[in-house]
Amino acid sequence: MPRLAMRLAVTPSVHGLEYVTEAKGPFIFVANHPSALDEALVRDALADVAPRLVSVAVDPRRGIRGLLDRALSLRSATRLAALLASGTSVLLFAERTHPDDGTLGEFDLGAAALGIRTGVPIVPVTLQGTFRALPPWRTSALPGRPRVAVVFARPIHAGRGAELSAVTGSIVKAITAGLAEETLGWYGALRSQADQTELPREDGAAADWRRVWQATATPAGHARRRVWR
Amino acid sequence: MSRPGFVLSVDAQTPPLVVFQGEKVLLERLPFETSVLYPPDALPGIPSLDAAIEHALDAPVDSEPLGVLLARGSRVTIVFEDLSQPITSRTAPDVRQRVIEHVLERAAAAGVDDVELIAATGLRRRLTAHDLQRVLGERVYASFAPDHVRSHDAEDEALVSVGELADGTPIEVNGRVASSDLVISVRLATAVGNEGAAAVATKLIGARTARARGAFAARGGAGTDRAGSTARDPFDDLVDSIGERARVFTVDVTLTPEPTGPASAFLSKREREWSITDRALSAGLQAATRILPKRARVGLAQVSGVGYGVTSVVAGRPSSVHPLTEAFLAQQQVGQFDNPADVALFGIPNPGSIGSSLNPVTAAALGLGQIFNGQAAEPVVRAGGTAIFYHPLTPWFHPLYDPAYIDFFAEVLSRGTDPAAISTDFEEKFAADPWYRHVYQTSYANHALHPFHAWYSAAPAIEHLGEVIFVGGDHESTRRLGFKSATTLTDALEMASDSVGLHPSITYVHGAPVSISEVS
Repeated sequence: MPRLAMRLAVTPSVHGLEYVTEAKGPFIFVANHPSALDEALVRDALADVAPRLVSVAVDPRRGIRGLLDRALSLRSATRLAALLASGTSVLLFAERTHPDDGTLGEFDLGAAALGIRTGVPIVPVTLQGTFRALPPWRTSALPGRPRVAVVFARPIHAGRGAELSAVTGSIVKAITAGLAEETLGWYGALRSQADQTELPREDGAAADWRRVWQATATPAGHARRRVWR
Repeated sequence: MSRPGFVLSVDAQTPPLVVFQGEKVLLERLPFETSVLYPPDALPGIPSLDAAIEHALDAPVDSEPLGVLLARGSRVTIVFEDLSQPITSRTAPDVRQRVIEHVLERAAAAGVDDVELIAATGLRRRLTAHDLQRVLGERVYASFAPDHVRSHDAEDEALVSVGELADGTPIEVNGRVASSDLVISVRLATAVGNEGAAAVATKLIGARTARARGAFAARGGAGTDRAGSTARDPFDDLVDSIGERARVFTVDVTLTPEPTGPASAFLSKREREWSITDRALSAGLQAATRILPKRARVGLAQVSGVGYGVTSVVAGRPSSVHPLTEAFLAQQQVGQFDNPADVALFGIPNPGSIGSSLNPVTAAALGLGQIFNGQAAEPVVRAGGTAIFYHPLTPWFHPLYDPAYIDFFAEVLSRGTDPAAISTDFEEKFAADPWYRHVYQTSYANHALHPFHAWYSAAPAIEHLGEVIFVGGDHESTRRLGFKSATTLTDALEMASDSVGLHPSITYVHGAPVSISEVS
């Protein structure tokens, strides 16, 4: 039901799912979390690949979901490791805080730690356009079924002995590149990352309103072809 | 090693066998003692394609790893196979996209900014934006469209001469390719035992060069394909490098010969081994074929073909990789069979990736191509024997893709079917016609020379054979092509009895032909 509602509200597209379908599960999916649509979108994209999927946010959830998380002790690494061992994949929203302006927060080291501990491949997932589609001040998605995208990056295999911060760094790098794809295109994002140029990430020091303004701006490109000018 | 092919002799216990006829799939009872040639079972696909591609690019044959060849500031062109090879998957990304993404990731890491993607179309039609997106994927397409991803244009003014053919015609190739530092060619090979020419440049030449190379006289008449001419091919110099500057790095991907999708896999199985599910699917397909109108039947082929498995990925220096790929593909050929038969039967399906019926000229060229470039290494029918094909040969031409074919069929073939006469009387007129050039360059039409080359490619087979009969063929268009049409197989054998006698030996090549051979 939530999947149907989500499909009616937005136009999702999925990229890079083939990186996941070829390998055998389970996986640790680590995603950014700009809006309330995110979990349903990722679950929808992964319906055939990882039908058993548990999602946990580092920033504790409120309400009944929060109580449920606590009751199932999903916030414990041991419990998640046991779930992974039983073949259930885990979706982690690993930002420590959940900024209400659509920017990327600081990432918790827990996701990398879980990957190193269990040896399960970590798949960075970028959610594009979901903040614009359903900002926190709205109760329903923008009209006109806005485009959103779920972008899976190549799995990161963190073996025992891998550096926590290094693995977290590569997760953040993949998600940042995924976000930059929206403005620079796929190749442009890869190029600027290779050149170590500053990807157009929202400036943390900028005023709140500017960050919200930027996050809700209509993306350039993909303009509909017009017959009449 | 997969299960090898074998030859079945039809007896009273043999069930009806699958025969493709255009968009239909028939179940035919063949005469007793017909030899049925089953190709070897498809090799198992690679489980992890990403790992295979990475390994191929990082440990290439006779070449430095791709990452080393790519340098900051260099000019790189990625050349990929066009729609003459099938879209390899309807659900997951195409194999070409997977390879090109890996290549581009390495290019981005090396700091290459000047990248262009070119579809090696030869004289075939340009790819539409939708085709390009299906082949390259949305992300790669969006990164390079509209200026840096395009199809090769054989009539382009900016072609560069890089050599000379035997008759002195300059070899003109795509200007961008010749001026690149590195040309990365991504090739697919489904054609059993034949990947095509070693040099990718053959698909990037100008129309003038293509005309001289594909001329009927240059082909040397019948049977040159397998005979192996002793004359040196000037394109041998263009295998590892094109011109003075461009070095070629190739990535060859081989595919399973037939679609391995769950819905259509039973069509390539041996009928004796069909499970209950296979029988049910077959009955369903037969019923659907009977009920559905023609257009919908074309769509049925689209639904049923799901994907091709990838059997190998090899990268490196083209002159070293090409023989490896050829040898690998040769494993899939039917190795031995008895003497060439008096009569050979072939089914011709509509290739699923085309999405429309084949026009009669292409269908005939595809069918006759099986004589020399088919599942078996040698012709399965003796010289002067009869070939019986299953195809409706409906005189229908794609209005966008086939304008030259329409006129070729209406004006040229109605006057005669002798390729030598056609070549002297009509080729110049078609090649010089500005309208064909215009629709080739600006619309999505095949080049005006394309039908001629298709017809020339069928010539050796026509010369080899005594009679060619199409079962279920449209009477008028079969006549125009110079063949005979029959309603049923029994009728066809009756018609053939004049030349091969009342008890001919018959060979049926099971399965679908895999490529439109040698028509660039």
